Amino acid sequence: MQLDSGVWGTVFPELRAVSGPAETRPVVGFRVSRIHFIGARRSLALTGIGPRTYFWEPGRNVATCSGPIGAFGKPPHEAPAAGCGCGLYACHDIAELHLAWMVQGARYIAKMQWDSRFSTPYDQFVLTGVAGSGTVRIHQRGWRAQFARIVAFSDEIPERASIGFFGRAKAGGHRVVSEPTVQALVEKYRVPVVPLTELPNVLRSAGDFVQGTS
Amino acid sequence: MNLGREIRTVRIVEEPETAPQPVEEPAWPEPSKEPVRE
Repeated sequence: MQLDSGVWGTVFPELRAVSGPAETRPVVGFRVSRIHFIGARRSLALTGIGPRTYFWEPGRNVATCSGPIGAFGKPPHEAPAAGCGCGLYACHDIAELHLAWMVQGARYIAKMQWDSRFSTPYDQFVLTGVAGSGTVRIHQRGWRAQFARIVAFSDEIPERASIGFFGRAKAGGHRVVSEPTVQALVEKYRVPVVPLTELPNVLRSAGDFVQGTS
Repeated sequence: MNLGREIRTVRIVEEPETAPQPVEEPAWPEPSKEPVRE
């Protein structure tokens, strides 16, 4: 059913934005990816931090909602939907990663660290620059996209002064991703792994940061 | 992840040249074109 944005736009603001002309430059942002080495061949895989997340593949990734399955096994709606948490996530700014992941990330990692079946060395996280397109829902601290691809990685994790998610990372560009992991990332995703200070510039070559959300 | 309040929605149709496609590797090695010598 097609809703008239002129009539329903005051109730559903997203109708007005989506009904306008489409942009061509993707939005870019940052996320923290969790590194897995799976199976006997130690194949590299990247996911988000939370328990409900995607496996990020090279090239374009497509968001699907993992909510209650609808008729004929279909997802309940196309992602990202209004009022739902679905979509491929990124933050506008590196500093906002701390705030955005503070609750979910800290709780999840604390749980994992208590579970002796899994170890969580720092090498298992990598700062990732991504570009989103399709339907993109812009939030205060980041965005949720229908499509997203990895543009670049950083071999450094940003400094965090207090004890927390990144509490053990040292100041001054402490290198937290090992060389074998860097090589595995490049081999699979075919994107550059750059110092932290260069990551924003690499992302600007692939798209635009969202402005004016604070 | 808490992204805060939703502000707006945009539609982005990425141009093909800015959206590199992944390099697909064959699942197994290509068969040799050379005739088999017995």
